[in-house]
Amino acid sequence: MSEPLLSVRDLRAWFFTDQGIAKAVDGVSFEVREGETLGIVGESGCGKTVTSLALLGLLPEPPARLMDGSSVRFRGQELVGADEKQLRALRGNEISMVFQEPMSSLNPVFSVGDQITETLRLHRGMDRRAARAEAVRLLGEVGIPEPARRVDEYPHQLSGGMRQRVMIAMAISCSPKLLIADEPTTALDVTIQAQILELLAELRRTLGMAVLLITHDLGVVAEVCDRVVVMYAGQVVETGTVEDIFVRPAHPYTRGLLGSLPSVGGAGGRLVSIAGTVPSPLHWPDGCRFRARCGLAGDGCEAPQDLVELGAHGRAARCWRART
Amino acid sequence: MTEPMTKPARAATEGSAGIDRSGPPLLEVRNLVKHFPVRGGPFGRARAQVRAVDGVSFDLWRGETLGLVGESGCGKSTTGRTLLRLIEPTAGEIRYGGQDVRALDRMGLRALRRRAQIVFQDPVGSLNPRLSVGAMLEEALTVHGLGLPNRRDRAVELLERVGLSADHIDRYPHEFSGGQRQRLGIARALSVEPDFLVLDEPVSALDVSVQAQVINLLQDLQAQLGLTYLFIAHDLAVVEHVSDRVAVMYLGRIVELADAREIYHAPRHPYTRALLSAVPRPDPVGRESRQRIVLEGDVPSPIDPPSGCPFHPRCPHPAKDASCRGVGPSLDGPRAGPLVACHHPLQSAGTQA
Repeated sequence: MSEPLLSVRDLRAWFFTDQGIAKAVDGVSFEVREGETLGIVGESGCGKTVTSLALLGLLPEPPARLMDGSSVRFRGQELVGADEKQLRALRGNEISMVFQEPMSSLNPVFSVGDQITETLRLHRGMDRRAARAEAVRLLGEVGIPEPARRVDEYPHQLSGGMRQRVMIAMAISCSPKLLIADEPTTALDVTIQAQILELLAELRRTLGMAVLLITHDLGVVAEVCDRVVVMYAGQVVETGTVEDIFVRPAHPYTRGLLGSLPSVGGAGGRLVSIAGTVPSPLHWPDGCRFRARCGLAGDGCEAPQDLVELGAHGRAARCWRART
Repeated sequence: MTEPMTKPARAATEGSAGIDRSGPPLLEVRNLVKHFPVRGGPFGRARAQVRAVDGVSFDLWRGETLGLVGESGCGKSTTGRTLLRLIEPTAGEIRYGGQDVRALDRMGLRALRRRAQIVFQDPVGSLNPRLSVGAMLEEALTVHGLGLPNRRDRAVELLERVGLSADHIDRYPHEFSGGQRQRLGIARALSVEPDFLVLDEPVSALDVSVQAQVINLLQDLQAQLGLTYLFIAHDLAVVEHVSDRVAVMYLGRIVELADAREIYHAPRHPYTRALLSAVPRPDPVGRESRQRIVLEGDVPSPIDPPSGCPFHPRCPHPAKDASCRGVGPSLDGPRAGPLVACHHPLQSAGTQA
């Protein structure tokens, strides 16, 4: 197999706070291959967003710090410890990001066109006229009706779905190899979410880019991802293909998450909830971090758990019981 | 004295089969309207009206759960608040237990709110940060004239009922997790022993594992106490799971109302069908062949809703014609449903009329 596009090894992003050290991301490893969609899924506080920000050096340091041994390689180039100039050359060019709330990522005092042309002039060295024409083309490509008129509108004049389309237009303006999308549809209504997911799938096909999708929504993961990383308490607890995760989940946490979901057209009845709440990153439990909430916990769970390989293609689960 | 809170139990899995709809409904809503003025200009005159709720009618029988579902801005939350007169309706009729809710004076409203309570989405914003849990629950009892000497015992009983414990009674809201705070919101609503709860997005802010805990709790409480729920949410899977009947709202109106299983397996309104097909399914098997209807454009503004059927500009129905633009379809039929406001309702899942 060829070298992965992005390779993350033992990423540890800790926050040094007055209350103590919050080990938000605590030894995370995964790969994104050329052209694939990898989903990172987990509940709030599991470390998925901190992971995505750490990849591009976007964590505020201090309080955050990437601990020794953390490695993020993009097409062979090490990004941890890279200087700001190198990172800047990558960000927006080869790797770009889309966030949950487009309103806070767009500048309210500049028109949509101004913001896209700025990116184009900065990253692609276009002149004003060429950049404007390209901005109109990009807005059309992301499905904005009447792009030649919309290009002069301001963010507040657009609906939530349209704003997210503008963010995506900016993100793809330099034909990135990797798009990191952090909860890109969470703030949107379900019919608009369907439009945006469709758009992302189409762009991925036409541009051949890989997508790293970060979300809490298992339904979205099942709809669009090729492979999945499940996170819990700052660690990866399970990885596999989307079928592995949804059809043959190996980790008790993944099984609990799936059981917690009411499904459309489902049978009703009682949901399998997971007892208790997510622990605090200031005090991860010793041993298996899921132990206190796990219905299967017993002897062998008080030891820290390693990811157990379960066959080929990076299938693994952080549970000693998964071995059998 | 607190009487034991037990009423005929109903298994959570029973569905609408166990609901007795032969008697009069607990709640009757007819042509409910709420318009909010948009003010502007130098004298702050109303320039336009936001037609948040634009003629909503439904009945709710004792012991059942009616799900009210729709996308943001469809008027579902405004409907819930208007029912309890937390917002004054512009027009229409609300009868609770046969009583005209719109005619109630202050004393009458207070009596109503002992019987009908509301739980909000955001447990943080709706709990007073400076009151301990015990003080909060005791206050609710006192306000409603239930300030008995044993009200602290009653507070403990409430906490235990929602899955918390007596140890929590002297803690403050910030010491609780999101799921626990929602349990507190439910305990406070239950403190006055209501018959009816408006649940306004009660689990939307919660993580999925905690969401399941709260859904199970709400279903257990309904079975134990014989409560009636109006369950308002945008999450269709959650609404189907908890509801006996479901009403789908679009632009301030109910477009379809039917038994929960029926509406999900055989939606009759083109909007309901599109909405259901857009929900991401947590099942990757066969996702390529799944038929998904992607609606074009956004929901129109409720300030200037389209003529005729409010859904007609986005409707993908091939039978769409001039009548859809001209005349708004009505929602006539049996009170309990099925009802559909469409000139060309779909016959069953996936087939056209």
